[in-house]
Amino acid sequence: MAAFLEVADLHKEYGAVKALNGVSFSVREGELFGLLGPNGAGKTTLLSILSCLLDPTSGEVRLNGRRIHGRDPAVLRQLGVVPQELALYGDLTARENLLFFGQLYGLHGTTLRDRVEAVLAAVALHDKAKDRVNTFSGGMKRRLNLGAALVHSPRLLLLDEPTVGVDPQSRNHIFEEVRRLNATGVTIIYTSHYMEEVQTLCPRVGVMDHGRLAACDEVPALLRQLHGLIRVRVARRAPGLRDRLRDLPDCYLTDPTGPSDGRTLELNCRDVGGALVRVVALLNELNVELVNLETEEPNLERVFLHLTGRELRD
Amino acid sequence: MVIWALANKEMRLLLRDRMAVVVLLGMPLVFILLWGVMLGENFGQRTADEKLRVFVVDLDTGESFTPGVSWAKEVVNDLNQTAGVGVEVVPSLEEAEQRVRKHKVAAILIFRPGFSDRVNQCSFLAEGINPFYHDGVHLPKYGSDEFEQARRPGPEAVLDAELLWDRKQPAAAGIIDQVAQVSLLRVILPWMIGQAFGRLSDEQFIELLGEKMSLPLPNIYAVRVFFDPDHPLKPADKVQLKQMLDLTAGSNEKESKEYRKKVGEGVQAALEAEFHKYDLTGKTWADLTKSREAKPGDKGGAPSPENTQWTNFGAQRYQQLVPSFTTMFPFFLAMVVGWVFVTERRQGTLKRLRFAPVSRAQILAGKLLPVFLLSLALAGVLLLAGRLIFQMTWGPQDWPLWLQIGCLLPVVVTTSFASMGLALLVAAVSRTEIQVALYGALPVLVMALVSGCILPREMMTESAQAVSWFTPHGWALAAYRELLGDDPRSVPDLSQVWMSCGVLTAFGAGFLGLAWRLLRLD
Repeated sequence: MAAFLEVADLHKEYGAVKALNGVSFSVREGELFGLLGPNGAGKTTLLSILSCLLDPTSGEVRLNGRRIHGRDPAVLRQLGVVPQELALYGDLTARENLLFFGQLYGLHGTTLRDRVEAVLAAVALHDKAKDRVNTFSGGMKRRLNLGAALVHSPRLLLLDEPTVGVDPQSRNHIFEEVRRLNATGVTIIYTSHYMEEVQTLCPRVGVMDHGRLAACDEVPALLRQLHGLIRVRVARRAPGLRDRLRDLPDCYLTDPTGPSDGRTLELNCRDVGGALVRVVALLNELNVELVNLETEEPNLERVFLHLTGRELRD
Repeated sequence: MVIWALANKEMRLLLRDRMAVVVLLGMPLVFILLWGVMLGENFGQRTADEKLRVFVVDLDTGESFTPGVSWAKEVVNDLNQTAGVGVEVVPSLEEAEQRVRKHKVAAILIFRPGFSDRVNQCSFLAEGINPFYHDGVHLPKYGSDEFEQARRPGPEAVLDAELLWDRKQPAAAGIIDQVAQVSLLRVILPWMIGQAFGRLSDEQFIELLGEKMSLPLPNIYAVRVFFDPDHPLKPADKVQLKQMLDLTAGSNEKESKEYRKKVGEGVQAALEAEFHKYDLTGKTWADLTKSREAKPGDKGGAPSPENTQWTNFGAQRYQQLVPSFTTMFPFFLAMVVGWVFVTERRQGTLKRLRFAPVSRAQILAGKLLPVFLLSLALAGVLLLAGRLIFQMTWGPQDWPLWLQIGCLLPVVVTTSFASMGLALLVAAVSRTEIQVALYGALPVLVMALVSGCILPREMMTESAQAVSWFTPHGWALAAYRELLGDDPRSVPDLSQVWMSCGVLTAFGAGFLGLAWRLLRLD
């Protein structure tokens, strides 16, 4: 399928600071693409360029084949942007906010009213439509913040940390709405530093660090870059245990985190399930009493750590 | 469509705080009312009946040309007869000092016990006291060295009167000083002229005139002298007037005196005939100028007599206050616009507007339009209130209402346009509420002050008046002053009005241009 959004060798410099350093990726139409990265990685700069707020120093962005350059109204009408900060008029009601943002995109009359009611229902704020936003909880505001970007039915939705400071109920509402929108064909770029969210929502993820795209692939492919972990703690030091574990296929031992008394062992395995059976069998064979056993599947947090050498929440 | 959506949203936000709107529209009216009540008709020290109060301590023990009436009383009478002035007598010097010390009174005129004696000594004669100096009657300041020195008898002596003044209120004291000086001049000068004129028939003066006036010996008389070798005169001599009179009278001393008297009367009669519009023998201003009655229609700045309430609606002051506040308050909307931008930046909605297909010009127009309309509404409310409540007129009374409105409207619109330009400039340079308050209020207040919105321009120095033309307020006021007013003889100079409108438009465009360069929406 042809790329709906194409980012090619994007550079953005603020004086000596390189905010983006050769970022390239593409997103297919109808795809839900995750963008991971710590603060300062360049995500916001990238989103600002995608939403026509900034021009890149070099490189180009194409939306549906059309090059984004300056504030092109034709491009802006296809975009829906949910900023990280709440951007709503607190003294207006939820409905008034949506009506206003709809009018900015040229909607009016019945079309506008229908769209506003649909969005209010989608973000579960229909019964609060007449209330001023100032009276809303943080979660309700977040949902309306999302809704304000949807009134004009954008084809590409840019979500910048949409769940920051949100209660679990509102977070679920947002997830559901994102999935529903994606199911209707809306292309979505979802930026977050919550790996679980991205891993849960996005089939494909780009990992950003220091203005570069460290990795960009399907989530399973990214996870395959890492081994799973089996952490074993035994009652006594058993002679030959370390050598037997090291001999297990597709596994290798690493230095354990925690006490270094020789009773804790960490085994990295490509297939955690298969290796676990073998480890338990080996302990029985050597008659070693098991005190504790932990397993850890690969996740994006560890992928990020692996790729960048630092924690995502730095 | 987009501009309307933006403007509609701004209007909703502005009108949502109804109390703020009421205060915004009502505050200038309250200011006008308070200002009018506090400052009175001419920004001076006034009583409830709108007269300038002149406080007087009368210690004068002497007598004027009117038996039993001191010169101090003559001055007080003159002050009382002055339009718009009322005299209040303070019983003692101690009380006067106390009142001034407590800043209750700006200045008090003190007549010392010797005041009448000194006035009686005032004369154009060499031995008389000359009470005048460059600016009028020499009225020293109370307790000054100059006063103590000048009070001593001698040729340098001055009137035994002084002005006790509060150094904290120099402007108000200055006004009272001027009023007192004018009265003193009106009382003393006619007296001195009358005295001098009376001297023309005085024997001593005729004798002096007789000595000073020399003429060639008439021919007929010269023949007689020629043939009289014992005569003291020679034919080639000049003869003094007094010698002529003596010669004419011969040895008759009575006739000689009579002739001298007739010379004096003749001089007086000739002067009276020459200056027949004046009574040079009159000892009062009214006698001297033969103007006992005030000219018809000359109110002399007196207040409207028909209304003596404390608000005095319909008084002249409102013709000045209403346009001043109509000019000044729309510029305060600069702070509203500044706050709108700061709030939008803080709540992130300004950035959100930039995500939408809306141009920078549309955003600015949408934001300014409602405030511009509010500015027009504010001016409209003030002018309407000025007409309905303060009974001011919108233009010459012989103009139809549509013409009055037609001329006022461009001034209101261009003033609002200039205020909008300034508002956007304030918004462009402010990032926080405090900056808006500082950058908004300070220039607006300074411009209001130098332009004459707070104090009448006439009260300023010439250089300050020149500075006022560098403010939009100054031009707006100039236009309003041309159009508004209740003087039926005054015809507005419409060229001044149109020029003001042009300059106000230029101010607005300049402010907007500068703001456009400086304003950042991200």
